[in-house]
Amino acid sequence: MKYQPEVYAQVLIEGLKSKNNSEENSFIKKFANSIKKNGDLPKIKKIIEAIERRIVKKDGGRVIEIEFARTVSETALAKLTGQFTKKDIIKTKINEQLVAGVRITIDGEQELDNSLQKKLAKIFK
Amino acid sequence: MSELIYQLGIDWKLLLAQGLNFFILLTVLTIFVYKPLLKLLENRRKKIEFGLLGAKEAERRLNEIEELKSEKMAVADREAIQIIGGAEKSAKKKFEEIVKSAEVKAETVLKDAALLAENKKQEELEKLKGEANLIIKEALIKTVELDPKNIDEKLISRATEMIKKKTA
Repeated sequence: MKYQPEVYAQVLIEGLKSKNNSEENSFIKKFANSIKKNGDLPKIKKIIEAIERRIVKKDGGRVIEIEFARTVSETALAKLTGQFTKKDIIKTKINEQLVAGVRITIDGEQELDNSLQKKLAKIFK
Repeated sequence: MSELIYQLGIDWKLLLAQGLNFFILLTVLTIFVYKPLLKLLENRRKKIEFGLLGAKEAERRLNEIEELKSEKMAVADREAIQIIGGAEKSAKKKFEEIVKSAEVKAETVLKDAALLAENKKQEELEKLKGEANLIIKEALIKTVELDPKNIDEKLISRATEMIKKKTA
């Protein structure tokens, strides 16, 4: 990877600030081309996540990633998502490796792992 | 006097001739026999004397050599005794050192072997523990998977409470 995803995100957001609506599209195209040229296309998912994080952070929100071992009831999900603000972006994912429980990651930095996998790992370490 | 000589039958001329002959013979014998013989005898005497002197000198030297040999032998004996004594001491010291080193080595080898055995035992115990943990873990996972709903909900609700506490 030539540049870190955060660098790309910063470039895009800072670049878009000075552009009007007509210029935005060509700037985004140029930005995408430069990613391709730098050979960082395989990391596009991480770059998009970094951009998303920046945008959400700019608005005072956070990116919340919630992993479940399997599909959970609507009530439990609502109760859990209800703990976050409307500015937060909540993404849910199924990860069977958790065995049971939930793992919550905030802005890709903070982690609350209340999964059975973690508990078993702690017991049998 | 001449008559007497005549009566005695002595012929002066003959006597003179004989005397001359005798003198010539004496001279010849002296020159060619007596003197060389005398010289030969003198030379032989000198040679014998020289030989005797040489023999005496040789005997004296032989005695001196014998004495020197005895002295040297005594010194060599003393030195040999000293060297043997030194060598014995050194060999004894070396032997003691070898024995000590061998003892230390044997002790180290024994300690290493004991440590190795202990490590192996610990490794096997750890392996066994790991395997047992894996079996228990798998059994627990299988049990949870039979009815995961309750555990899932409990864990999720606990996570919710934790977030609530954090944000409060």
